[in-house]
Order: sequence, then C-alpha cells, then structure tokens
Amino acid sequence: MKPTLTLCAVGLLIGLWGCVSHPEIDLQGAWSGDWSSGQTTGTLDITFDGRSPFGDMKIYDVVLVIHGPTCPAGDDRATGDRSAAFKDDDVHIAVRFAGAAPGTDENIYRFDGSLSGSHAIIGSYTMTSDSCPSCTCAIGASGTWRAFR
Amino acid sequence: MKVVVGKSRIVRGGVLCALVLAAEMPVTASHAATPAGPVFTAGSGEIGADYSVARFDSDLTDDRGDRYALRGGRFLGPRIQWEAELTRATVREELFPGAEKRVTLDIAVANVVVNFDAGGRTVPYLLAGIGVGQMKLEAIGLSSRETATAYQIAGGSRFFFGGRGRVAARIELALLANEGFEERFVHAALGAGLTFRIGT
Repeated sequence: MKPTLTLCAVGLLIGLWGCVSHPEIDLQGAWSGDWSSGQTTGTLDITFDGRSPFGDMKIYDVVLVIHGPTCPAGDDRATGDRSAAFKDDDVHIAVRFAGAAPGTDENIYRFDGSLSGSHAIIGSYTMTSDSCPSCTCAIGASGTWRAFR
Repeated sequence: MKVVVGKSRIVRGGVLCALVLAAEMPVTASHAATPAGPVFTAGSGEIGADYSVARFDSDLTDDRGDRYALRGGRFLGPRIQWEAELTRATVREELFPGAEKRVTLDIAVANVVVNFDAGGRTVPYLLAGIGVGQMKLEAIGLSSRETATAYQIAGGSRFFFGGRGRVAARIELALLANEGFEERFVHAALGAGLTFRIGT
C-alpha cells in the first residue's frame, strides 16, 4: 500500500510541476552597470521600454546613458526605437549616440549580452559604424559591459 | 525602410511545378477564347506568376513588403480548378545601418478556385487554400523560425487578351494567415501578374 501511495504522491507532484508556469523574464525597466574598454572603465544606465512581441522574441525601445572618466560632468546618450531584441537568454541592442550629423551613418553601436539569472546582463559591445565623433566618454570601438537590475 | 527580396528557392520550386504541369498537359489544338465560348475545359491547365504589395500582420511590422507567387493548376471543369501556389513574402526594416528587423514568410498552399463567367474574357474568381507556411523572424541579429499551417482566401479577376486568349493579366486581393509562435498572423496582399493557359 505504501509504495502505491508514494508513487501516487510522486506522480501528483510531477503533474503539479508541469502545470506551474515558469515566470516570464522581462527586461522592461531600468538597469545600471559598468563598461570597460581596455584600461578605461565607466558606468552605464540602460532603460528598456515599450515592450512588444515579435514571434518568440521581445522588442524594446532602449535608452543607454554612458558615464566615463573623460566626461565626468556629463554623459553620452544613445537611443534606439524598437532596437533591442530579447530571446531566451540573449539580449541584442543597437543604439545610435546623439549628435550624429544628419544623413551620416555614424555613432552606431551594438551591445550584445546574455542574461545571467534574471537580474544581470553580461556582454560585449562593438561600434558598427565607422566612427563616433559625438562620443566623449571614451568607450572606444569595442569593450565589455554588465548591467544589473 | 528598404525592402529586400530573396526568391531563389521559390523560383526553383516554380520551375519544377511548371515542368510537371507542362508534362501533364495533353498537347492538343487550342481553342480561341471568345466571349461566347468556354475559356476553360476540364483537363486544361494554367500557370502564372504575380507580384503583390504585402501588408504584414501589425504584430510583426508596420512596414509594407513584397510578395512573389508562382502558381500552376488544372481545371476540373469550366468553373472549378485546383491550383498549387508557392509564395514568398518578405519585409526588411532597417533600424540603423547594420541593425535590422526582417520577416520572411514562405508558403506552399493548395487552392480551390471558383471561376465566374468562365466563358468570357474577363473571368472573376474566388479561391481558398490551405497548406504549410514557414515564418522566419530576424531582429538585431537574433532569429526564430517556425513552420505550421497556413491558409489563404483571395479574390480577383483574369483579363484574357490576344487572339487566342491564352494569356491573361491577373489582379488579386489576398488574405493569408499562418500559425506560428502560438499566434495566428494575418497578412493582406494586393497584386497583379500574368497567367498562361495550357492545353485545350
């Protein structure tokens, strides 16, 4: 009798586990962290907003604010409308820093990362345009970044 | 917004489809299409190609894209025909140089076409089809792909011209739907193309 009861209990638990929906991870909101490019380091703030579905991905508007040693009194601000994509644990962000001359393809960066748990993103970034004349915080052409919520 | 079209696979499929149909069609003397005589007879066939402007489901993009279709079919009678159709619809939305969103929808459907006024040179029609559709979504370097059921309803008209009435211009308004990612997406397309009558 006891083995039967045990088996029933285990089966019930497995069944209940299958019915529990895992919480959906959402990037929406404010994240803060840091970046480094060679010996240069600084901090950053990222805000994800305007979530919309795109198949099994989520798309966000994104605002990225970079702080660094060469811009102690200021920051570099980048934005992208619907230019952050999130799927599984992968986060891909494309942004353009403010100040780009009209009609030019400059000041554009890609920040790609992986979600670690649900409260940290760790990744790397690359400048995808030829130059970023408006960047004053010395983030360079590539580097690494982390953001936490 | 730039629109980019990939069509090699659909062209290959269409050529194969056309070859199969051409091989199946009996080689007989053709009848001239006249307003008084039947344009379609059982056993004859039709192939065609068309281009449409596609408005994708608003959950995917607000931009318009392109749809290319190749089709071939056989008449079961003057009014009813079946038709196989291969279609690709795609839209590319460039967010920044090097960062884009893209939707690509490949659909293969079998249509049943009902022709009205089959004896005339202007032949309106309605069609409904079901098949399989593969939707590929790409955004900022991430991508997803899912294959599931696809449907289509459409209406339009063929306008036969020429002395033998074997070629027709075709206009069509179509509603396509495909399942995928636990959703149903509905797209609209308005297009035009050419149709060639084969056989009797």
